[in-house]
This record gives sequence, C-alpha cells and structure tokens, in this order.
Amino acid sequence: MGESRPRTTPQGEAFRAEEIAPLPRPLDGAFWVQGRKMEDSLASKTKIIGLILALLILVAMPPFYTSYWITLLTQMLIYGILAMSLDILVGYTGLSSFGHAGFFGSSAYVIGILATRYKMGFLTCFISGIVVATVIGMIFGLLVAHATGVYFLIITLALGMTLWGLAFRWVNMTGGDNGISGIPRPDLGLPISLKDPLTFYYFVLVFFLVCLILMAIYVRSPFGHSLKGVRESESRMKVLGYHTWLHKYLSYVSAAAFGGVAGALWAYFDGFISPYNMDLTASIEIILMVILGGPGTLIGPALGAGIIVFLKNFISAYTQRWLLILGTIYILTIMYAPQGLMNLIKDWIKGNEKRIEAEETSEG
Amino acid sequence: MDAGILHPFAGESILSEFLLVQTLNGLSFGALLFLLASGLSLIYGVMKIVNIAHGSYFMLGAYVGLSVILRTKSFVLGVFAGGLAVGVVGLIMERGFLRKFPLQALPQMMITLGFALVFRDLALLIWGGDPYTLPCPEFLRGSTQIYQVVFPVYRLFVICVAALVAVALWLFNDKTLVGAKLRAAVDDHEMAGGVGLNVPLISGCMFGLGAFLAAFGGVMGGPIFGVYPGLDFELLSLGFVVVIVGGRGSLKGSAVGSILVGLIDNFGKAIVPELSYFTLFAPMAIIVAVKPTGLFGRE
Amino acid sequence: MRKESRRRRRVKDNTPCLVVESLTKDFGGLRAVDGVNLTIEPGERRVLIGPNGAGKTTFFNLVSGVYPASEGRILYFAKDVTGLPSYRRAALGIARTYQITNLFPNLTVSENILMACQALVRTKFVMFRRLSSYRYLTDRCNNLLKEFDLREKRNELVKNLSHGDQRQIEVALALAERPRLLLLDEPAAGLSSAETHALTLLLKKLDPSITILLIEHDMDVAFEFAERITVLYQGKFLAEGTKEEIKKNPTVQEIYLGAE
Repeated sequence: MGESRPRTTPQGEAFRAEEIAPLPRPLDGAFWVQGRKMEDSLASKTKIIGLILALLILVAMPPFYTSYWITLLTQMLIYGILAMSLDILVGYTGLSSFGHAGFFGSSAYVIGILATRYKMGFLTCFISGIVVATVIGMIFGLLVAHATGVYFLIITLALGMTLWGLAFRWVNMTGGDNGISGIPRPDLGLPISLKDPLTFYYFVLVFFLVCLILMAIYVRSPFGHSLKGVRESESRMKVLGYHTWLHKYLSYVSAAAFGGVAGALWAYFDGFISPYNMDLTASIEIILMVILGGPGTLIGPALGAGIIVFLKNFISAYTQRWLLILGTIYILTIMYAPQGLMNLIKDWIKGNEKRIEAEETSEG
Repeated sequence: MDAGILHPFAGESILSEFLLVQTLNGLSFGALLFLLASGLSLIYGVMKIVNIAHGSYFMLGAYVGLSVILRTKSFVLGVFAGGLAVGVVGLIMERGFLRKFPLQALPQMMITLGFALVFRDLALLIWGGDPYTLPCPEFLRGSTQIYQVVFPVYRLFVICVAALVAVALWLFNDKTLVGAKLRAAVDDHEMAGGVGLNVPLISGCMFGLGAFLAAFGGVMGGPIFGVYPGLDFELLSLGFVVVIVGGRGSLKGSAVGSILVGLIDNFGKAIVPELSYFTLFAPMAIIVAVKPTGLFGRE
Repeated sequence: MRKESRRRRRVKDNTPCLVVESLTKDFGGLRAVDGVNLTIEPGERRVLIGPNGAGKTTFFNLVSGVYPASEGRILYFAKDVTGLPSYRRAALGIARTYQITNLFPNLTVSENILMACQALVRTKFVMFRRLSSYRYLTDRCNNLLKEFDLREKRNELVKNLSHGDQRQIEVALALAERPRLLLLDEPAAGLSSAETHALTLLLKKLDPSITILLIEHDMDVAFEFAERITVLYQGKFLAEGTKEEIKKNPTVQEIYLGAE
C-alpha cells in the first residue's frame, strides 16, 4: 500500500489514496475507540500547552493588544472558520474544491445588500446570508457530488467563477467592480458597541469557538467517519453499503454553510465586500491555508489561515508582491512539506515519543 | 460558412444582422478559446495534469507579444516571440518542477497553481496594472462586408487561423507517426514506455506545445480583447468550461466546446450582460448532468 | 430515509442464494464475461477457478454491483438485483473482498472495521454525536478485532501493517456486516504458506449459513475449501462439479496444463 503510482480499475477509477502522496493523518486518531487510553506523554503535553497558549493569546490577553493586532486577530479568526469549513471537503472527504470563496462571498454580499439597501437587522441579514450560501451549496452540490479528484476541482473552479461573474457583472445588485461599502456593525443593544474593535473581536471569537466545536464533533461523528472513508477509498465504501454520492453531497453542503458563516462575519467586520473577496485567487488562498496547516486536522487549517492572513498583512505593508510570495510559498510547501505544518508537528512528536520510549526501555 | 443560417428577409434585417454579427463575434471568441483549450485539454489528456497556469500562458503570451510588437512594429514577430517565449517557460515548468511528482495529479496541480500566482504578479510588476490593446497588423485593419453587415477583417482572420491550427493538429494527431506515438502515450503511459517511446520527452514537448498554443492565442486575441491582469483566471475558467463541455483529452471536443462556449458567452453578454457568466452555467450544468464526461469525452 | 436495517426476506427453503442467467459484460470491443449461468445454493462453498483473464474478478464485480451488466440477470434469493447499485446490494447482504487490497490506508485498524460496522445502519448519518459513544458499534468492532486476533494492532495505521494482516482485515470488513453471500477474491493472494493455512482454517470456521463464493489461484486452498467448483475460461462457463469431477475433467486439465 505504499506504492506511488495510481492503480486503476478497468473503469478508470484511480485509488485516491495513491493520487495524493503522502496523505494527512487525522488528528483524532488518538482518542478513538471508547475506553482506550489517550496517548500519554508528549502528545497530550503538547496539546495542553497549545491549549493554554491559545487561551492566553485569544481570550485573556487581547485587551492589552493594540487595535492593529486586534483587527488582525479578528481577521484570522474569520478566515480560520473559512479554512476549517474547506477542510471538511479537502481534508476529511478528500475533495479539492477550488470555488469555496464563492460561498464566502455570496453570504457577505447578501449581508451587504440587505444591510445597506434594505436596512435589515442583524439576525435577518446573518441568517439570510448563511441560508443563501447553503442553498447555493445545495444546488451546486447536485452537479459536483458525482465527481471526484481532478474533475471535481475543475467543476468547482468553474462554479466558483460563475458566482464571481455574477458579483462582477450584476452591477445593479452588487455594485460590480466597486462592491458594496458602508455595511454597519450590528446594533445588538450591548453596553459596548460592536463598533469597538475589541468588542467585535470577542463577538467573532464566540462564533469561532462555536464553529470549531461544532465542526470538531461533526468530524468525529459517524457521518464524519464516513467522509474519511470516502477520502480513503470510495470504491470500498460503495461496496460496504454507503451511498457515497449522498455523503459527498452533504459534505459539500455543510462546508458551504460554514463558509457562509465566515462570509457573514466578514461583511460586518470589513464593512465592505467586493468581487475580489471571492475570485479564484481568493479560493486559492483558502486552499493554501488548508494545505499549509495540514488537511484533515481542522486546527491545522485554522492555524494556516492565521499564518497566511498575518503574512499577507505584514508583507503588504512593505511590498506589493504578495501574490509572488504566496505563489512561492505554495510551490515550496508542495515540494518540501506536502503534509502541511500540523502533520509535520505530529510527526515530530511521534518521532520524539519513539525516541523517548527507546531510551526508556534501553535504560530499564 | 454562415450562409446557411441566414434568410435575408427585408423586414427582419435587423434581427438577422444582430444574429450574424453576434455569431461571428462568438466564433472569433471561440477561435481564441480553442487555441487555449486545445492545449489545456492535451496537457490534461496526456499527462493528467490540470494546468492552473494555462490561462497565465495566454496572458503572458499577450504581454510578451505586446512588448515585441511595440519594439519591432512586426505583428508576426510578436506572435511567434510570445508563443515561443511562453513555450519555453512551459517546458521549464514541466522539466524542473512537475517532473518531480510523476503521475501525482494533486501535487502537480498545486505547483501549477503556485506558478499561476507568480506569473500574475510578475506580469503586474513588469507591465503594470493598466489594460492594453495590442495593435492590429496594418493589412488586417478595417472591415469588410458580409451580407448586410460590416465586420472587422481581423476577427475573420482569427477564425481562419484557428481553423487552420485545428486542422493541423488533427492531421498531426491522426495521420502522422508522431501523432500516433502521442496517442499511445495518452492511452497508456506504461505500455508506451515499455514499447520504447520516450514518454518524458513526449510529455515535455506536449506541455511546451500546449503552452505555445495558449500564448499564440493570447497574442492573436490581443487586438480584440486586450490584455490586463485578471485575464489569466477569467480565461482559465472558460477553458475549463470548454473542457467540461467538450470532454477532456479530445481535440474534437475542444473544437466543438470552444465554438459552443464562444457563442453562448457572446450571445449571453449581448442579451443579458449581468448574467453572462450564468449563461455558461446552464449548458455546463446540463452536460454535467446528462453526460458527465463531456460531449466527446471517453471513459 | 429508508430503513437501512437488513431485511431478512422470508424465502422458501429451496430458493437458491445466487442465480446468474446469461450474464455478459462488454468493455468496448472486449467481452470479459460471456453468457455465464450459475446457481449457488444457500450455505454452499463454491470455488471459481480459471486461468488469468477468465473473467473471474469481472464476474465478482458484476455480482457485487461495481460494473453494470451488459446482458443477463442476477437473482439473489429470487430478487432481481441486476439494476441495483453496490450499496443497495450490500444492504441486502452481499459482501466482497478484493484481490488487490482495498482498505482505508490512513485509518487505523479499528477505524477500518468501524467503517464496516456502521455501513448498514442509520447511525452513519448522525453528525452531532461522537462515534466512540455508540457502544454497540464499538463492541461489534472489538469482537471482530478479537476474532481476527488484531487487538494489539488496533491503533496501527493500516498502511503500516504487513500484507498478511491487511488481507485479514479485508475479510474482517466483509464479515462485519453479517452478509449472507460472501464473495472472496483471492483472499490468499501474496500470503505465506503459514498465513494461507491460517486463512483456510478461518474460512472453514465461518458460519455455515453464509454462502461463500471464492476465487482462488492456489489450487490447494481451492480444493480444500470447495464443495463444488465452477470453471471459467475466457469469460465463458466451462465446467462445474465436485472436486473429483473437476480434477478428472479433461478439458479442465488441458486449459491448466496449457496455461502452466
């Protein structure tokens, strides 16, 4: 099973496992069967340290940050949700979607139109945005769920561009190239207005945590498990009794829904939405976030999102050449670290664990 | 070749004029799409690589052509300079980078992705963000009369050139020994290698040829559509729609698909400009639902 | 959503498990399976043999629903399943293994087996509760791990296991859903003689009510296991009978001597 060339059945279906070399290892492998002891020692220590750091950086310390960092962090969280939603498709189901920014943008545009033109309230706008993104996912899903591998990529790319084209050309609705600006922060009647960056940051943090928890349960659920099976061997899944089309469809729709959440938050965060938030470059950036962080780990893509957002902002302050650098990062990542950071870290942990074990047994 | 479409009614002349103009426009766009899509389809068919940088080849070709034409005042030189320069770039991409991941579709595609971003930014750096229109060669300027309408000569020229290229490619594929070797390599890499064909060489040349065709199309399209940042991905998506509609790895499919997409896109823009991208969506959806491998795709 | 639970049809006692009528499969110009007729009784141990290219794996693919048939019918306990996709046939109790190991390489052994355990229950669509909280699934998984002696390796990634272990998991996956018809495609492929022996013992211990159709190249395994043998040759039915009948059949001897 360690071969690198794709095998094909006479039908022409390639074993997907070989198409992507090497594949990611899911983060939740350790907590698996009920009652099984957690992997002790290094892995859980690292997780605890990571958790404490995250709590510090994200929850306890923000009141002490400058507003530049607070807004940057808010942006990271929003894209974190978006990257995690794509991970459901890419990392867990094994389907590379190159049109994911379309759901992000569609939701944001709905917020933009409803909030600026029709002056609708937060709940109406927010829910409408997510609903629209989900419905688009349900329609597009019918076209893509039968596809796989590279063909899936092409179709989702074309579909994503269709949404972009709509944003770009339907000038009456969307403002075309100029986009929609002036989206006001929602007025929830809180003591501190959401216009304050820190308050809005915590507002977004709540959504991030909720999405993270929901998605974490989702990927550990029986359905989430079935998605991993589809990723590993769709042919085997069919023969075992899974209606794989349906599973892929539901996966696609769920990814669209969570992507819509991110888009809705973005509209309120930035106050502005344009076609550039949902073109192919945007979809590509999200893919890179997932790959950089490590597909199939959920936290990895969130981290990847943080890194890319940070780099983009940081680099754009000094040079215009962000795309050049992004492209180079892409190429380097694929050439030298195709599993992404998260899996590199896990491999490093596993390597150290084995070394510690070996030392302990030899000393014994 | 359009004679059969028209019925010159005196009272209906405006409609038939509209139809004629739009059809010719659509065909000229389809011609350029064919130059782009044939390369994309070939690369996909031969090497199973989805080349995200393919639209970038088109765009780079146009930019390079632009610079050469401005400097040498020769359109022909510009066309071939653009084509060759990008063809070489394609070769380098294949040999230096893609070859490191033989037969692994996803990493290869990701690498082409990275290059697409790099190319886009380099183009921005070198040529700036303003759109340009390439100057049309002297002898092809002006318009000519076809039935009731006046139509630019250059666009007709583009249609003819693309048709010639199509025929040349078809002959090459079907009738020559090299073409046969190519088909063998497309059908079964390993067997082809086993029979003594130099598959890496064929792959490399295929990639270079595809890049050349795309860039060639870019320069040819320059006088009509111009060149601007963003052209790369717009055309890439259209190219993919052609591949979806026409079927992957099929020359006939690229031709038919390009014509269809060119016509639909054009009529769509003329009739419902706000929804023009969506007019492509409908036929694509139909094809995907009815014959997922495309009109002429094999599976 | 339709109930995924297994429907145990009340059938007459003499209903054959599998009836195949004039089954044909064309691939473009190639006719891989040509008008094959076959009847297998419930609980029978049938072995399918034939030289390479005889169409045995294609036959399996037709019966399990991986390929649609070009012509002919497949009747499973008198139910016409010819038009059904694979997953519907699995729900009816048809399971198969693969000649080229087809597992979930980056998942652990437990995860692989759980995938099979949950395949035919509605639980597989639950999205907001952890899989590990479903006792009946984890119990079934643990039982299978014990049966196949894989408990120690249950957290190993399948791709890191030995070939022999992987072949075991192949069979475990197929058995997890308590099938009534089990199609085994060269289960002993690539196994050492010790492993093959262990496999044969395992197969013999299988529930006698399960109907088993086995493809095997290893003649010792084939002859040891079989009650009846069917021989395919170039996609066509050649001969059928008991071990002794087949051994003595001159046409069979010819094609095998010729093939060797």
